[in-house]
Amino acid sequence: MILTAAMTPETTGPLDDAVAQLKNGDAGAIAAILSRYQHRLYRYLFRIVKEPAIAEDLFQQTFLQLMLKIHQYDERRSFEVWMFSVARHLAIDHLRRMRDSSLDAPDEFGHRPVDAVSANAADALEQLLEYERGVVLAAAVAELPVIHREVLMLRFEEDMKLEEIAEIAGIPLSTVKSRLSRALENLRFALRNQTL
Amino acid sequence: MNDHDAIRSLLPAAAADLVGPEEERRIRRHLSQCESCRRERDQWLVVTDGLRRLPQPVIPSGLVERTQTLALQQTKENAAHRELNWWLAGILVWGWLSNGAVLFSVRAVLGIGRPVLWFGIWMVLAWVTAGSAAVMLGHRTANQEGANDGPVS
Repeated sequence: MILTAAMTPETTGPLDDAVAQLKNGDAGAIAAILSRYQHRLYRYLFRIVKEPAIAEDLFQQTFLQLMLKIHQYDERRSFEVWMFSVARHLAIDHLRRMRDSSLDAPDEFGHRPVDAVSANAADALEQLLEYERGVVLAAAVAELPVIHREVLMLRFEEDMKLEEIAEIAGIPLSTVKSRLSRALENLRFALRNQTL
Repeated sequence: MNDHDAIRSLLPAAAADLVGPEEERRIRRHLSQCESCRRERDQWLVVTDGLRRLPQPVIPSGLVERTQTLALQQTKENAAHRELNWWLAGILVWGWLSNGAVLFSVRAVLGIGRPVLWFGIWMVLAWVTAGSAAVMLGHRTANQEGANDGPVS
């Protein structure tokens, strides 16, 4: 149920109009942006900070920052990239402040494996196995350093181009490539005793 | 490093679509002949495919609504602050001008000298007037904000 809900596509809509309205001081336009990006942004923040309560707080802060800084947004750039870079700054700031505590906090998904399987699904067992594989992989990802976690998530979960990742993380393209390769190698190393 | 090792070291990059067309052709050629590299490539694909389908965190109930409420509340507060700033600037200008006008009139009617003394009186009166008005306005705004504040949870 949870997997199904989480995979529901984001509401598509005239994003450019909403951004333009927000820039013109129409605060109500934030609803369209929230509706479109809620799942992706929350997921991104959650993967970085690993704590639902903190991800929630950063999610709210991100949207407040978007409203405050919307006049700084250059419309020739991708709004999505700009929004993720705002969220990233907040998350990284938080991690810097909490370096000694929250980085080692245990993983929390907030749901049970059994919730992932719909009761009447014909392939319930296959779903459960796939879910368990995902949990193993997610746990391994959560153990990676944040700079590796981040590029993996942006590349594979958010399906972003390398150039977009470079812009969000504020690093050169060549660094994105080497970081991604290194992150995958570390992940494989972390999974060496696991069967996916 | 022989070709086999070189290709093997490229496999994680290939799984993340980081290799160029030339390298990709080279990898494909090698994979068609090397069973162990094919298995290794398949392992990498399991990992990258899994990364695209990780269990999704559940967005907390009501988070979107709370964020929207918070955003609208902040917009109102920002608007109120902007308005307050305009009022303060207006009061300051009014204090200076009105006191200057009064003193200028009094001096013109009575014809008293001592420009430095008059300038000093004018300054004191102007700042006292503007300052009192600003304090009153500040109190009013603080009271309003106190009344509007509510938890967003």
